[in-house]
Amino acid sequence: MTPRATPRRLALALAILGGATGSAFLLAAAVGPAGGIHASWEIVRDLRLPRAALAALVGGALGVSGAAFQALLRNPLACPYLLGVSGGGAFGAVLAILLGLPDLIPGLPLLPVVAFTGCLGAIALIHAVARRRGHLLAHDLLLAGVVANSFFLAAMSVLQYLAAPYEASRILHWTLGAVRPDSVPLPATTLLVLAAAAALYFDAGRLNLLAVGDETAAMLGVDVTRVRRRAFVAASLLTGAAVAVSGPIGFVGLFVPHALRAVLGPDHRVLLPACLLGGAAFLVVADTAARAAFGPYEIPVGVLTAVVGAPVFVVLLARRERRLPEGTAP
Amino acid sequence: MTDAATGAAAAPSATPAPAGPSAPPALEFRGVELGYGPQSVLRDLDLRLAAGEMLGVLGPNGSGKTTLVRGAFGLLAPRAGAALLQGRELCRIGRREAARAIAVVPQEGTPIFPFTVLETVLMGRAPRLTPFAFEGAEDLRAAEAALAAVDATGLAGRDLAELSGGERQRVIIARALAQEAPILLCDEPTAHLDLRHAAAIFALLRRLRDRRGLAVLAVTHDVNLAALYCDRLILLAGGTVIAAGPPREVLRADLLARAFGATVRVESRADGTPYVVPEREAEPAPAPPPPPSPPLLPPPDRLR
Repeated sequence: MTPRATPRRLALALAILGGATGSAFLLAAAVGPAGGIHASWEIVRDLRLPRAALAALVGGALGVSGAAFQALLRNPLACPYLLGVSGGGAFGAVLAILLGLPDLIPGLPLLPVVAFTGCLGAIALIHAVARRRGHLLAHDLLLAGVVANSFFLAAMSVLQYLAAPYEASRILHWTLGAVRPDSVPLPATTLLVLAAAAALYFDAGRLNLLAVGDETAAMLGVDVTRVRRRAFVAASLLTGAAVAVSGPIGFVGLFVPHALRAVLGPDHRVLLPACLLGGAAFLVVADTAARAAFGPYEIPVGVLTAVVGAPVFVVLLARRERRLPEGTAP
Repeated sequence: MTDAATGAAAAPSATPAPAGPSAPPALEFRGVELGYGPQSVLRDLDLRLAAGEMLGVLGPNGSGKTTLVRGAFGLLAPRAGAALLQGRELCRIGRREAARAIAVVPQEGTPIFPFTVLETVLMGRAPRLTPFAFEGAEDLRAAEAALAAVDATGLAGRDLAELSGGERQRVIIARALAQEAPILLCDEPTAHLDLRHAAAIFALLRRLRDRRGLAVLAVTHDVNLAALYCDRLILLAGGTVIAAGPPREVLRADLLARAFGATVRVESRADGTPYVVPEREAEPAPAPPPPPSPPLLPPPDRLR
């Protein structure tokens, strides 16, 4: 049984996970292709550190938004990509590739900008479909999001089908999910991720109550619809930022919150900051492995997280199953 | 008809209030109409809940009992009439302030994440916390006192999902007590509980009324427990109050037949408290016994 959330516990969690993130950065800076560790300072400064920084940003954003979606949808299986925000981003990215936008003006990050615009469109669409008589219920949001996701993926397949071979392979590479620090507006992304994470943290205590139930939260003084809308927009912006700069990288948003919840307990006032740092450390290590562990080849980190994440998650679920006491009614 | 109701002079009411005669009732409905969308669920609802009074709300399924609780918390604004908390209009009061005055024990499932009993009870302090804040020593004291009041101190470290129905309901009541609100609204607090645990919950609510002077409103299907423990009962049917008063005036066979459409007999205990005995429904026509069918398996003793 985990002890309850206190400022001390938050500080302890942040210290440990901050140390883990720092170590992950050291690892990313030291490890080169094929596991070699020799590199000039220029390579560390210009290639490895920016890439680690972007991986940390994406991993942190996915960790926090996964935890928030699980609470605001009241569904422990929710992940940042469940609601079609990423689908909107993918549609935007594919459109940008088909229109040749990435190479249109050198140095201008048009692909992430268009992909992020797709995410914003998806957020507005999902919200408009899900709201009913001024209310925003978890299952309406879930239904609207799942439908929006399949719609965007279908639209994306149409574009993919029409694409020429070169563009099709580029689209495929994008959809595998990889950390590519070139042509990414790193400062703007950092600002967006930190602002959205802070907005979610503002509602951390209320997310605890939403996880219990709408009626309970309302009777404890929470404006359920407003908090759910705020948290949905903030978590979606985090997802959108991550997808726009790196494509969809799976399992981070599912695995990191579950693993940290098992250790730290479900209180979002501790869990959300922990997921920011934990997700960052996780993806920096995963990305370093993806570029260094497979000889001369580099595999997309999205492939690695999916291949490694699924079995690890199964182990996590199995352990939880064993922890249940005897005679527990479902 | 909205402004006139608010400004009306406080008419002397026939219902006896245990508190001082000048104190406004903790909670009052005056000709309230409540509903969702185009549908109106409750009409012409008059209700007074005085400080230190325990009121039972009875009525058939779908008679608007849960709607009444939502209206009494101000979650649902009245379409007509006025819902007042200590004389102030409920729907004009901020939700957090309302949650410091009114604690609700809702009917709802368990959280999706493994919150402990202590964490659950501490959630009752949410209406008093600022954003970003953690519960302090005073909140912890209130939660521990609430757990002690429902005799659940030993459960503090347990996962809420592990508890039995009776334990869980006591913990949810403790969460409401941790709100330190003078009014307690319970929506079917004994649903799914067995005889002993249902009686224990009513005894607990009565203790809270006696020792702490809480105003308790309990919506319930347990007519006999309500008669035993409540000061007054109101009976809802067809979207409005058809009877209100002390148990012996409300639990009458004719009124119960009208509200529930059920055949019952009402008896009286030695102290005059009524109790309701269901009668066996008359069968339309006795069905002929089915012809004996040959057993699919031989009797057990022949299986050896």
